[in-house]
Amino acid sequence: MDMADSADAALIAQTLDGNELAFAELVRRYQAAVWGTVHRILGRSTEDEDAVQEVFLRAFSSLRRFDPKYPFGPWVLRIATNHCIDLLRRRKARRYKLWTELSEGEQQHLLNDMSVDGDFGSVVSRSPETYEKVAQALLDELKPKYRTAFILREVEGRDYREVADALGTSELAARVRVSRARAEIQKKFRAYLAGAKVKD
Amino acid sequence: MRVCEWFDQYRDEDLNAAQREQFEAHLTGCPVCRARMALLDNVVCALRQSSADAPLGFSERIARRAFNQRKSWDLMVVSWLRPAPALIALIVTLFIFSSLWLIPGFRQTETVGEYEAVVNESYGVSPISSSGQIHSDDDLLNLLEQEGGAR
Repeated sequence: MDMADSADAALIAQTLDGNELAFAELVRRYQAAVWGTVHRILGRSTEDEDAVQEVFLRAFSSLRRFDPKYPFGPWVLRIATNHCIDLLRRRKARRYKLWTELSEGEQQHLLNDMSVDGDFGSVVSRSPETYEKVAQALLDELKPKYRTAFILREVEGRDYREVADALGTSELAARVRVSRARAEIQKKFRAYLAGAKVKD
Repeated sequence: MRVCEWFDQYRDEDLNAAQREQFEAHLTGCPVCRARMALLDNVVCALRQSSADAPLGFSERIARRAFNQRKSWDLMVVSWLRPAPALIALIVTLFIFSSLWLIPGFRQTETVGEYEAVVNESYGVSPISSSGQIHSDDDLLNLLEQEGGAR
């Protein structure tokens, strides 16, 4: 057990003894990581705060069942991904309206930018929110389990063991999910591009 | 195996040095793989740009809410029930069915009941029930004896 883990274990023990400040400190340590993951998976800043609150409240109510031999981070990440997958499944009917909000010219322009082979970083930095929306639109119709696996692996750069732990599955299944997500994004992109060209 | 099929392994950095070199050489000449790679890189780049931070005082608010909820009696009951919802549903179902079973109207195990059902099925209208004569197994035995005697 490293120092961070032993400090977490102490905070957990104090929380279970009724120390509110200890739990606040535990939340403070992990809120940035949980918030980032929840935000990327859900892709809606309006839902972030409620979702992150729910994650920590669930962690609190299950804290007695947590085994302090293991690190707290992956455990809370697993709660976060499970909660996000539940939310994504429930909101299936509500999808991005990105493509109807934009003119056909804008759609074509954004899609062309997304397929640029080169320094995309400088392109996206001009309008990060718009390109994030395009990226989220491409992820939006992925199955929640593929979307979550893709975010954890590709965007957050976690190794497959961590992805598998967070998703409660095997490493092989995690690899399959990421691979499917990549293929689906490509398929969706082609479909959008075909749609944009048809409109032109 | 076609080099195109190494796409996922390349992204996951699972190829050895020679294979990686071979795949990179392939990328320069394969517009399909190159476009696929660029798209994924750009999607990831766009998603990484987005940042979201917890508001000030968030951790204290969560901790306060968590401890207030723990004090709430009804939440304690709910959290006690939560681990075994299926078991509780099963117990409730069994209780309801066993209660129904105890109500006399739900059981027609007496011979007279079975006889009435057969007669109803055979004749459409039960002459016995309409006469209102049979109320017990003894009445039924008397009737059967009378019918046997008549035949």
